[in-house]
Amino acid sequence: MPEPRIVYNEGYLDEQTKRVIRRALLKAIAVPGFQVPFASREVPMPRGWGTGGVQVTAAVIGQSDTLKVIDQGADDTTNAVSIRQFFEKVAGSRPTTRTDLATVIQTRHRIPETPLVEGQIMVYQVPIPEPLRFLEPRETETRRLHALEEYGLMYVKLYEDISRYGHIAKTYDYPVLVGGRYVMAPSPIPSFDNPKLHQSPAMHLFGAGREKRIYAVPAYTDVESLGFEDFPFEPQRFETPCEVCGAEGVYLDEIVMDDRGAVMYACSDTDHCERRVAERGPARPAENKEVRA
Amino acid sequence: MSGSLPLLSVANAGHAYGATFGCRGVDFDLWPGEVLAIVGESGSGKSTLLGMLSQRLSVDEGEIRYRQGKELVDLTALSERDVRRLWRTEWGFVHQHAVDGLRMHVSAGGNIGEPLMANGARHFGDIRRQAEEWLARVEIPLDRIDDAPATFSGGMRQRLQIARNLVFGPRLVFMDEPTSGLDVSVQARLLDLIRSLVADLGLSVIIVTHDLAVARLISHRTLVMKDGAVIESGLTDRVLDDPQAAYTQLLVSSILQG
Repeated sequence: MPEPRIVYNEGYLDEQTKRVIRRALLKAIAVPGFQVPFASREVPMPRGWGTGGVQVTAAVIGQSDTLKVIDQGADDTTNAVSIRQFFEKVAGSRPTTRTDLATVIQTRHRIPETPLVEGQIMVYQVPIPEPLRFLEPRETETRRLHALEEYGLMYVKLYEDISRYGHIAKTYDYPVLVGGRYVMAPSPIPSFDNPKLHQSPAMHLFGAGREKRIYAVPAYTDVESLGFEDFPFEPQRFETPCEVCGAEGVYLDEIVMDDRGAVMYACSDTDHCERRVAERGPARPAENKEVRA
Repeated sequence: MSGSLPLLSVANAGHAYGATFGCRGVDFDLWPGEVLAIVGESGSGKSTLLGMLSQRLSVDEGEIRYRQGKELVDLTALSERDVRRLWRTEWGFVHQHAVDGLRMHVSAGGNIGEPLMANGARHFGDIRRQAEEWLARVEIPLDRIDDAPATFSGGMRQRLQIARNLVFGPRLVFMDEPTSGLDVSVQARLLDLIRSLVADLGLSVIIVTHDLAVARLISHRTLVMKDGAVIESGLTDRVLDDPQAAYTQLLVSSILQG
């Protein structure tokens, strides 16, 4: 049997690159919420598809790890499946879809409904790491604003929302104050998930491949969503339960059912939904009727 | 005026662009509540002087001291953090072009509220109320509070910029040709507004202008600049009615007398 022509290093990246990323991660953990620049490498996927997350995962994963990858909460989308298989192949990690079994969870958009526990690592794929970016286009200036803790600008954005819509209309990538010091963009997770970051027992690592930044929220760190005294932060809320499993207080996806505008609302976290159905059976049709009426 | 210490004390100050000085050997004291006009022709170093006083340009020679509490502090010795704190809490800067001083796509209310939020205001209702108050003071209709200044006329933008610079109660305001881009009738109203606000709030103002009429109308004292140096200074009425330097005489006589 001939040797395969290409042999990848464990975790795809070479050891030096992994050390570079680990150094950036250590610095990020030491200064929660601070964006650490790093030399973003090429990985076999286009920028904007989660290259930052893949590099962070590659730097922390090993053969003893179990990896879960979610995209919009779902384990079975193309991107999630291919990243999971990629690490199975290059890092020898075990794949899983179950939140409670995973040691590393790479995600775009969601934090799983199942509460995270100590020892788990969340890896986020971040498109725009700079919360002030669309308010202040100059990188030199935003760095200075972070260094001097001048966050008035961030509140201008919230002010504009309230004066226009009567409430803070930002529902994803909602800015947070980490450890009482740095304002951070929690990647595009819905504001529904923001409270899960506060004092979370898991480690949260954020990688932005295109923007070449890494930042982190270590376990048990204060994460406060910004707001005004008279218009405090309010996470999104859903009136109806999931129509598949009947769960309440979870993040729901709108699913278009036909071409006459009928929709159904179901858990965005597919793992949570499937396990709930397996335990208790599907939601009763009566509940469905009520919801649709 | 307490008479004990000036607000700003400038001694032999100069800023160099490479080997040549943009302004040099400037000496003056600015007292609380005083309006100082800096006049001169284009290229005479007025804006360089203003930039240097406001710490946007370096002080390459001499020193500029600013009163903090009961002592005068050398501005060049302050850290960037301290200078920026002064900008947030004690200094305003009204640009010649409102586009430079406003966020054109943030609403008028947001523009006025930004300095308040930068200073830690976190109550939407309070911020909104102060924005409304200031819009009324600078004569902008209240129903424009949620409109972006991009939709405002030149005069309204300039008034909005003034409101944004005064809302946090600064002690010292720098103005760089605040009226020069506006037509004459709007200029007169704006000057009137500036004069009454300055008197009401007891502000110190340093205003740069090439228009002697502006200096006459709102300033107590005037510095005349030419080729980067102050060639004459004194009470505005004295400088304009009895100019002593040859250049000032030329400048004054070049105005049409009405």
